[in-house]
Amino acid sequence: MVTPFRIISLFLIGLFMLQLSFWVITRDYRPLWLDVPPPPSEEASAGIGLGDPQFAYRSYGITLQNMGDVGGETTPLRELNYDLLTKWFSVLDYLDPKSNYIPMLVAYYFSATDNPDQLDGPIAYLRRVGLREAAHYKKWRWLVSAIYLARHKQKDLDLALSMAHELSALQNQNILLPSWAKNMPAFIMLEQGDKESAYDLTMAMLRDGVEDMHPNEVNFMVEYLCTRILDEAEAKIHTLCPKP
Amino acid sequence: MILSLPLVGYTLKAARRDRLIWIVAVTFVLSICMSFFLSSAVISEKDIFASVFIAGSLRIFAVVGLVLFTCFYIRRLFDNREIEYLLSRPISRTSFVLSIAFALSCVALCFAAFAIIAVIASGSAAIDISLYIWAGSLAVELLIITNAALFFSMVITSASGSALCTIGFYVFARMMGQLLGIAQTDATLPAADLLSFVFNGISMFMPRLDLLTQTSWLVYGVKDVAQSLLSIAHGVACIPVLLCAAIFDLIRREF
Repeated sequence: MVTPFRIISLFLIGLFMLQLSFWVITRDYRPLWLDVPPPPSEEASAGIGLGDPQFAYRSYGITLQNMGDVGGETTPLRELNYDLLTKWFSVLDYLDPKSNYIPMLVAYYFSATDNPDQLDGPIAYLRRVGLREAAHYKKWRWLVSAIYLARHKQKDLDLALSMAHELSALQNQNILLPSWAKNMPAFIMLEQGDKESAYDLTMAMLRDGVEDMHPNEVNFMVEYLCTRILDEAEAKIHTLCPKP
Repeated sequence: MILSLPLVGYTLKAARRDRLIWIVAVTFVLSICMSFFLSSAVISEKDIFASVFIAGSLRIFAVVGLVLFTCFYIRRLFDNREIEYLLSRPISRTSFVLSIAFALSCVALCFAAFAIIAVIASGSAAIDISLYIWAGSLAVELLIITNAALFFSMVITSASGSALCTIGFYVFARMMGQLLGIAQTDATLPAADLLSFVFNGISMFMPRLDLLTQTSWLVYGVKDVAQSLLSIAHGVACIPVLLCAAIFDLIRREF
């Protein structure tokens, strides 16, 4: 006799078999990476933290750090959409302009892409951050990162030089810069082959700023002048270079 | 006496009977562990991440815990006809609401104390005036939400409905600054003028919770102490409004 208990039991077994058949089909499915999602607008960006911009900044920040690495899959940086990523950087910069987390992520992680053409956005972002509020939060170091990326990864010496001039000019805003940062234009001019300008700039710094510099900084500048800017013959007769 | 101490004790016993404190304590511990786990994965500013995640997540869990407990407790009073029994005692309806509100506020302050101790114990936030202001505003935020939950559970006859309404109220109040900003600045929105008018109208009746309990205070300090204290005072002023509305509803109710 077919009892309700048997019917229910058979029904349950049937449902379990159905569940097993779905499992066989779906067990190899993985979350699909659909590229960098578009960022929220600046006005709506704090929504994820329920009106708490700092909570939203940190939540988005950790998401951005792991962008592309979902469900056991890893995505090469070159496959990320850097235009959208740059918009994310700007939105997060709006949420917390003081933090150095996103600039660091951009300068040391997202800049590691092997496609230099993708670096236009990150360089522009780092430049903007580096020039803003530089006096209060030592943001100028992100401008140095932008110069490094333009100079060594994009090989765009003109862009690097223009940013180096901006960096050097920060000292006119009473921002304390180390001598290597002040002398950054000279490094790039030398690389461009403009030895004369590099020499003039370095000499001007040694002449006008030596009183404010630490002896180690002065030694570094003199060493750079004598071993990199001047050739051996010129260094031998230069008054600042040590005689053998 | 305007408060009925037996009723206060009765409500606190209900919280104990529901193991609310223990459940919230376990939730807080898990949330703190998760915050430290997530912050350990970031490339820099790990301490700041930890304090922001702890402070932000504990606030949200405290709100959810308080809303659920308050709404389901009040609806249970109605559904089990406990409220009719309690009101048969020599206690006015005003005193009844105030006593329950006082007891629930004690629970809310207990949650706030847990969260504050957790943030201090995490060692990632400096103990200074910013922490005190954050702690005060967290307490006020939880008190507002508790009293809002009390009001909605008096008015709405379903526990889940009143919980959803309170959470909606909370989200609206926390997002009010964003919504007003969008409505006033984004002229490309369809019917921008109408939206601006609607949001401005709604904002007249909503506390600006987005100005309270900012985790950035724990990281960078409070920029404008006077403005923060004004926001806290605004929050405190909302509590009697909600209480009066709850009392008004109970007084006109017929059993």
